[in-house]
Amino acid sequence: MPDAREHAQRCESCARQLHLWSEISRLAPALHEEWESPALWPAIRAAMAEEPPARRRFPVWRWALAAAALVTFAVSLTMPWRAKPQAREFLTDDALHEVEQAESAYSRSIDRLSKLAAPQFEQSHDPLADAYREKLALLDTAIADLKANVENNRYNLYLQNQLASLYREKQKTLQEWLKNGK
Amino acid sequence: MASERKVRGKYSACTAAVLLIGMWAAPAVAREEVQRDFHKTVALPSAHLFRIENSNGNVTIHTHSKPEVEINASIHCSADTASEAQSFCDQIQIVVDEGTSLSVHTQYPSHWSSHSLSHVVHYDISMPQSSPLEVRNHFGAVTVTDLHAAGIIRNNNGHVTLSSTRSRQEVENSFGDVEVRGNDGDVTIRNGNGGVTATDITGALEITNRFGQVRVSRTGHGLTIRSNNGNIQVEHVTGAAVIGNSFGPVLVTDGKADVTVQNQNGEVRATDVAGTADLRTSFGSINFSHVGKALTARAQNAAIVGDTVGGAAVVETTFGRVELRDVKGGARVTAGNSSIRLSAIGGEVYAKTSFAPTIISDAAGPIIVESTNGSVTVESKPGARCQPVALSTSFGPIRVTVPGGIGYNVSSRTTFGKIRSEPDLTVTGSIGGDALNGKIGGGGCDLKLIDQNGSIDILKR
Repeated sequence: MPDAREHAQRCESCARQLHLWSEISRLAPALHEEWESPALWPAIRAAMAEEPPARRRFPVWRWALAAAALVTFAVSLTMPWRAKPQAREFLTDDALHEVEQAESAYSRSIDRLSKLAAPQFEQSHDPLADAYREKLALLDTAIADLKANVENNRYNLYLQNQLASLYREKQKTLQEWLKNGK
Repeated sequence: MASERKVRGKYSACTAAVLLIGMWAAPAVAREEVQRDFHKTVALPSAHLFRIENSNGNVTIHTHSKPEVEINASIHCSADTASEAQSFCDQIQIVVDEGTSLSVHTQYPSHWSSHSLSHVVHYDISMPQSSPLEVRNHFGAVTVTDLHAAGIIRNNNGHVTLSSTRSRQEVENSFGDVEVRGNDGDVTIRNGNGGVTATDITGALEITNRFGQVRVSRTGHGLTIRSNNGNIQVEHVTGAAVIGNSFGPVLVTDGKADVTVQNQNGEVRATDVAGTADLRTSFGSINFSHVGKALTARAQNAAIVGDTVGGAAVVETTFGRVELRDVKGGARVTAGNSSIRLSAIGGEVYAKTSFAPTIISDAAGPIIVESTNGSVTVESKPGARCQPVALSTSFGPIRVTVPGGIGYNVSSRTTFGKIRSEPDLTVTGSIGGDALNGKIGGGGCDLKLIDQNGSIDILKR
């Protein structure tokens, strides 16, 4: 089952099937009922006494059926005949909300780092500082450009990923400067 | 033109009365997505230009031998309602201009106000393999495969991948990686804030990059890299390689011709260079091994260490040690505040340093050492014929070992220290004072030893 769960993370329809199986297991106990059958056990005992003990067998067809069920389930999880699910292009409302919150968090972190780095950064004439200044200027331009684009395409997953990666890059650059800068 | 529309109702409400049906349905998401597909096939004679311009989506180009271009575009829109998404998708146009060249571009509505609209436009195109290509794309990836004509690709914020191409290819990108795998012809790559990988290029390769790593493997006709702030790794270069970088290491392996590296604030490492190696850097070490012809290594504030040079070696550094071994030609080493250690040098040795020792062994040619405030230790190569030796220092001892059976004209002088000779020395002039002059083995080559504040020892091998 761990393999099936792992596969289901990449396969929407398989995830649904797996969810269904889990739900059946979860709900089945609730459907369990008991009732009194006082005549049942004496009747069984009488029948057993009349019949000679037979060799217990598990018919071949049952094995075949079980194997077929197993294969069907396994194949249905992989669904080789179906095209791979299309990559998601857009964010949902919830995801956008989360992305915007993450963006705000990044902005705050970057502001804090910028304030920490600023005194050293502005005064340094070291070539390394020039390189970091150049990189940060490039990142700022790219972020502004991308934000303008995102403004008209907010749910576009690719753009939001790009923007997040630029924020990460800027944060990393500032952190590196604080660590290595002179 | 044939166009097909379909609405993907992904977000059906989960109102299942029956539990299983409800669970089978997709999870509830409060937005609608619409996809509109565009297909068109247009004739394009061989060698005529195909141009495409797009933004917010990927462009994938394949080629075929037919004189036509198959344009497949998928326009994806997202909005609060399916009708809004559909309406927006309908306004996004794929414009095809036919003429001597064929041009395709994505035309978005001039203005849209709703913040809830989003879009993506992907292209998948099959074009004649012998037609030149121009791609301009923003915010998406570009992939080109099997193009046999010249290509120009300008992209930003997305990866660019070229594979199995021919002819001259030019790629410009920013904020995305560039990968060229297999081009039979010249390649020019200009990138920024992204990595560059180029392999199996038969022609000349020119790469400009900054803030990203560069990896090159198997190039045929010369390599030029201008980079800043990134790692550079190069291997199996057939033509001459000229590499410039700063704030990142440069590693070159298996250069079949000359290699020139100009780095700043980064390490340089060159191994198995068949031609000459000219390696320069500052604040980063230089390491080399197996250079076929002459070597020039210049550094500042960095060590220079290497071995096995087929020609002469010129080495300069400050504040970093020099270690040089197995040089077929001469070695000229200038260092400041750094030690020098040279061994197995086939030609003339010149070594100059300060505030650190100089150690030379197995030198076959003439030896000149100019040191200040450092010891000097020299061993001539055994069995070699006589070679002139001139060693000078201040504030440190001089210790020289000469091969047995070879004559020298000795002139030595030190102000505060003793002068000793293990080989028999026939003194000429006066004994005592600061100087000792004479001949070893009847004389021959000059052995000049000048010191201040240090003793002088002449030893026999």
